[in-house]
Amino acid sequence: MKPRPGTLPAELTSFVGRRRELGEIKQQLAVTRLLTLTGGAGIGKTRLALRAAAEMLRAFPDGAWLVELAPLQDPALVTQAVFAALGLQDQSQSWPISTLTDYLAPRRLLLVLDNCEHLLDASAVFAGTVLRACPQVRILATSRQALGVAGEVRLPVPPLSVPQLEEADFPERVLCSDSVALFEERAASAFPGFRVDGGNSVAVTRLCQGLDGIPLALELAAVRMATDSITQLLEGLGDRLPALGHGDRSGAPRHQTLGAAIDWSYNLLTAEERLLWARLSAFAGGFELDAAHQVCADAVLPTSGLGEVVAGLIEKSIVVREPGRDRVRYRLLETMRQYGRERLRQRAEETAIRGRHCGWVIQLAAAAARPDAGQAAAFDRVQRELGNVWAALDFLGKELGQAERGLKLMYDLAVYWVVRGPLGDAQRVLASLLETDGGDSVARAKGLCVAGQLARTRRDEQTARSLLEKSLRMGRRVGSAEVTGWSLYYLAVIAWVLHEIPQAIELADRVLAYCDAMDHAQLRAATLTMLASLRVQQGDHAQALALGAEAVNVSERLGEIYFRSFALWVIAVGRLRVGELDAAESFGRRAVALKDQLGAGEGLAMTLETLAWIAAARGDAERAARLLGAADSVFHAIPATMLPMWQPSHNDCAARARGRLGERGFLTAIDRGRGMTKDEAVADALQRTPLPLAKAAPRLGTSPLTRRELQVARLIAEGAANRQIAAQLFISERTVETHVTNMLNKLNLSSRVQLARWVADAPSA
Amino acid sequence: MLQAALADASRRLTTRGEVVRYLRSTYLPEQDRVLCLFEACSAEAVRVVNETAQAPYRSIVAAVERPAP
Repeated sequence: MKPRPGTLPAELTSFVGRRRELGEIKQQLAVTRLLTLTGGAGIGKTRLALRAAAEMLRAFPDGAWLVELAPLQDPALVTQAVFAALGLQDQSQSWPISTLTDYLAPRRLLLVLDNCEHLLDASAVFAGTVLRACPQVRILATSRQALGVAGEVRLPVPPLSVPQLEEADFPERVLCSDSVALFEERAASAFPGFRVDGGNSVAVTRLCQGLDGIPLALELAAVRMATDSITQLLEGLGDRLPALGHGDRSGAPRHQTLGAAIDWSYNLLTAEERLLWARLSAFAGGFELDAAHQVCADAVLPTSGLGEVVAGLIEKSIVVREPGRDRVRYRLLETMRQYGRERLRQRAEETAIRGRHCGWVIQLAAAAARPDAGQAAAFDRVQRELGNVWAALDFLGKELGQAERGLKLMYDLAVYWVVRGPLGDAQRVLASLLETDGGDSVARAKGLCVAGQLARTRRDEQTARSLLEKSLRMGRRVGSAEVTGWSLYYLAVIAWVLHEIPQAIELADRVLAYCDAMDHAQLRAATLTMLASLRVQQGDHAQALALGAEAVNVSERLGEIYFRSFALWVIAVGRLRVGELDAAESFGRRAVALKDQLGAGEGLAMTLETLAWIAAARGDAERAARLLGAADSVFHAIPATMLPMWQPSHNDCAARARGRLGERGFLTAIDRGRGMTKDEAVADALQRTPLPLAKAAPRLGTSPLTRRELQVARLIAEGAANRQIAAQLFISERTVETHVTNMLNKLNLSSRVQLARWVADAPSA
Repeated sequence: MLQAALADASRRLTTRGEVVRYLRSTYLPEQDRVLCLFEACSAEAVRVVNETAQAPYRSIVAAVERPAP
C-alpha cells in the first residue's frame, strides 16, 4: 500500500511568538539529525515542533510525519505507531524496525516523535537504529527529558516571554511579549471583542506573570474569559490547578487540565524524585543546592544522593536551572510548585518542611546581621533568596502564629533593608507582624526599632521618632540593652537629620556611654561616625577627622564594612573641607568601593557626589559634572534625594563645573554621567577602566534588511495590512508574508507590533 | 542492526540499576530463527530489553553455558 503524502495536522488556532525558537530549530536540524525539544508540562513543545516541521516541509521531499506516542503504553508498539503515521502496514515476520528502515533508507523525510518521555528507552533505541540505517532521515522529538542518544541535540523550550510590571501600564509594550499576545488571541476567541488595553493591561500582565508564561496555562485561563473577568481569574490563581478547568476537549486528556498535564509528568518520576519535588515546593523564588540539602534531606532523601535527584528533576523538566554568573540556582515554575505543595500536603509533611525552610531563612538573616567581613556576601545571598524570605515571614506570621520569630528575622535584616530594600515591602510585613496582639517582649521591641529605622530611611522622621521612642521604652522595660542602644542611636540620627544638633549630640553621648557598658563595637563605630559627621557640619574638622579615624579603627577590628563606609565618607568630606584633596579622594574612593560591595543605593550616590565635589575643587570640571550626573542617576533609581544639609556643597560644585565648562558642556557631561550604569559609574569613580562610547541606535539605512524588506517594514509601521502592502508594492500577498517572516527572523522579533516599533525607534538614513 | 539495538537497550536498562548484558546472537538459517544470549539476573529484565528494542521473541528461557574443556 502506498503511503499518504507527508501530512501534519492542520493548526486549529493561530501560532503566536516563538520566532527565536523556530529559528534555532531550523538551524539545528540543518546540521543535526536528532533534535529533542524538552520542557515541562504545557510549555508548548508539540505545537512548536509541528510549526517548525510545517515551516521546513520544503526541505523534506518525502514529507514530515507526526508520530504521537502519548496514547501508547507498550514500548513494543513504538515502531507500529510509526508505521501507522506513515500510512503503512507491517505484515512482515521480521523485526519491525528493520522493515521500517528498509522503507525509510532511500527517503528524505522528517519524523516528529511526539511525547517520548514515558517510552524513553524504546524511543531512544528506535531513533538510534533509524538514524544509523537511514542517512537522510531527520528526527524532531518532544519529551520532558532528552532521549540520551549519541549525536542528539537537546533544545529546552522556555516559557513564553512575560512583560515586566514597569511596562504594565502601556498596552502596546505588554503586547510585545508572547504570553500577552497569546492570551489576547485566545481570550478573544472565548470572549469576542476582548483586547488588551489601558483598562486591563496591568491585570493581564499580572496574570501572565502568575502563570509563568506557560502556554497551556494561558490558554486554559483564556477559555475562562467566556465566563470570568480578568479580576476573577487573578483571584482564582491562588489555587490555579482546579481554577484552570477544561480546555480543548478534543485535545489529548493530558492537555485538558493543567493538573492532568502535570500528573503525566509526576507519574513518570521515581519515588525519590516525587518526594523531592514535593519538598522543594517550600522554596519560593528558587533555591541553591545547599539550601535543598538543609530543608529537604533526611533519612529517606539523604544528602549524599540529593544532587542526583535534583539532576533527575532537571532532566525531566520539573526543575529549571537558572543561568547565573557565579552561582547555580534552580527553581520550580509556580505551577509546578503549587502541584508539589499539594503533594506535600497529601504526605502530611507541609508544616515540618516549611518549618525547616523557615529555620534556614532565619540562619541566612542571622548571617546578614553579623557585622563582619562576610556581611556583603551575606547580603548578596539574602537578595537572591528574597522570595524565600517573604515566604518564611508569611508562614511564621499567618500560618504558625509565630509573629515574634518573624519580628526577630526582620530585625536581623535591618541593615539589609536599609541598604538594599525594598523598603515599602519590608514596612508592610513589619506592620502586619506588629499588629498581632502581644505584650512587651524583646522581639516586639526589636520590631519597633527596625520599623523606626525604615521610616527614617524613607525620610518620614516623625513616624520614625514615634516608633523609636516606643522601642526605647519597651527595650528598657524588657531589659534589652541592644534595643535600647540602637533606639537611642537612631533617635540621634533623626535629630541630626532635622538639624537638632544639641539633642543629637546629647543622645549620641548617651549611646557612647551605653557602648562602653555593653562593649558593643558596632554601635560604637556607628555613633562615632555620626558624631564625626556632626562635627563636619559644625566646621570642627579636626575633631571630625579624629572621630572618623576612631570609627574606622573600631570597624576594622570588628571586620564590618557598613558603618566603615560611612566613616570613610565622612573623613573624605572632612579632608575636602580642609583642602587635603588627595587624601579626600583616597578616602572617597575607599567609601565608594565599600558601598558598591554592600550594594548600597543612597550611600553610593552620596559618595559619588562627594567625589564630584573633590573633582570640582581640583578644577576637573568634566569629571565633577559627570559624577554629579552619575550620583543623580543612582538617587533617581532608588528613588531618593540628597539630604538638604549637603545641598550647598552640591550647588557649589555644580556652579564651579558650569563656570569652567559653560552651560552646554556642563549639561553634556551631566548627561554622560546620567547615562552610565551603576557599574560604569563606580568604575569611573575609581578610575578603573575608560568610559565606554555611547551606543548608537541602528539607522534604517544600515539595517540588515533588504530595500524591499524596508519598504514592507515601513508600510507595516504605518498600519497597512498585507493585502494593502501587496497592492501598493505590486507583489503578491504571499511574498509580503515571506518578507515579514524573514524580517522577524533577521531582527529576532516575534510580531508585527514589534516590527513597527523597531521602525519607529530606528532613525531614518 | 538488531544486535546494536539489543546492546543499546541492555545498556540503558543497566544504567537504571537492572544489570543486563547482551552477549551474542546465533542465526539458524534453516529454521529462520535467531537465538539471542543475554546475561541477566532475571527473565523479566531480558523481556524488558527485547520490548525496548521492539524485537519480537517467542520465548525467554534460562540457559547454562558450558565452554569447551
